[in-house]
Amino acid sequence: MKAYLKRHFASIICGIIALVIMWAVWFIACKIVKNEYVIPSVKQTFGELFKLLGEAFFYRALLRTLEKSLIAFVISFVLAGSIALPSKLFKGVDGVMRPIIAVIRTLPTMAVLIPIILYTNRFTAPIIVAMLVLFPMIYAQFKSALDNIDEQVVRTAKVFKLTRRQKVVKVYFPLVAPNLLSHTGSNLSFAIKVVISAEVMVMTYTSIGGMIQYAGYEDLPRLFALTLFAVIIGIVIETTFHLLSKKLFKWTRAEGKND
Amino acid sequence: MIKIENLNKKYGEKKVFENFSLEIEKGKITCILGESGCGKTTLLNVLSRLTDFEGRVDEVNCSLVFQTPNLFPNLTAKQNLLLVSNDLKKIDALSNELSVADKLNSYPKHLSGGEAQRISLIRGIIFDADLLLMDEPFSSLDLGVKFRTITALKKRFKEEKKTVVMVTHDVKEAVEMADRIILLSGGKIVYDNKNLTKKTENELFGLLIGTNN
Repeated sequence: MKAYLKRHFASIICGIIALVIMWAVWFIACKIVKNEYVIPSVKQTFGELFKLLGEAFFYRALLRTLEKSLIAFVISFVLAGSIALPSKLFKGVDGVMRPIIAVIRTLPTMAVLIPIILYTNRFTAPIIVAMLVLFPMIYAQFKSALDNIDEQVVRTAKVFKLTRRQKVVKVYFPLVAPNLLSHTGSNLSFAIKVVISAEVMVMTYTSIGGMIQYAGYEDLPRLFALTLFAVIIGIVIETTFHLLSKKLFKWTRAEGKND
Repeated sequence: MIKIENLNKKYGEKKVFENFSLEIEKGKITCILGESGCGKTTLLNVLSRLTDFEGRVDEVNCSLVFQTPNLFPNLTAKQNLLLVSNDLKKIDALSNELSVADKLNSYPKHLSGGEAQRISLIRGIIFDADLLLMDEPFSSLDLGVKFRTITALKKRFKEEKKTVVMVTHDVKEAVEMADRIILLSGGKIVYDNKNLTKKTENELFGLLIGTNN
């Protein structure tokens, strides 16, 4: 623990400074506005947050939101990976996918939300909306990770006549895995954000978005508390996956060299 | 013999080889010397089909030791070797000869440049091929390790009657290693010696100074 703190002392100090700055901005905004119905104070918001944490409904809503986010992420990830690899191996696939990805990426997602609800339901619609946002992002991450594989690695695989399966399973996928795992945290965090936004729009009842929608303008401390919770959970997820990617892939860590 | 006939190769407008021909004797170690840009590495790329070319080059199953180790970073040294051959006995023997036996469970990032290059040498040797190509394979080894490595490899290549083409800019390496030394300049053979003597090193230094002027 001591060694960890010593190694990451600078990062910890920077994190604390950032938190102090954000708290200071919030505090100053409250003092300027002087209206708790417009900007609730830090004390009120945290008070409301602790109240939420004692409510059973909050946990049911949280689970439903996380469930939708996870479904959207997993489907997007599998789809993106399944298409990105053939895109790397076969130029024709890449040529076909580029305009499709461009269309999906530029689609105004909230505008397609209404037709999506008409054909699905309040549970599925936020998942589809999140997928429309996530899929192009994750596809680009896959492609970037594959494109950044060192050309020398590709040459070496060719010289030693590795089979396609060996290249994919033993070389390409393990080389892109740390990068993708590190992105997974931010992708999941983003999925939660998009799902919550969609839940607000479609008024999904048992969900964080639904709770935000219900809090509305009349219960701003609750609105702020829910928003704060969403931010905290996003940060926790991102940090967890970032640390996991460092822990799991020993070969990326530069230990003391021999000689 | 492995034949190269009327090889033509250019990069953009720059001609590297024009109607170049060479015969490589099987079971012998051929060293190719020359200044930078004379076509040494291009010749290896042509033989290993890593680059396109015009002309006739015998198709041979090649193994290649690159100038840099080019180990797969996500695999340990041993896993890198096992990817190209299952001959554990040969892996153990070579890793002992090249003094890297205790590094086999390390990842490339945790090896020094010299250790990684020796693992790369082992990989090139154990891969089942008719021709071993080596592109300045000893450049990252320090002096003591280099000549111990050359001695060990030369003995092994002789025993196995391995066909080797090695590119180097180091005259001493070439003289230590080779049965035949070829000096390239401007894509042409300016020196070709199959009967190496004690005078060969001086001859080569003289020629290299001449070709660099």
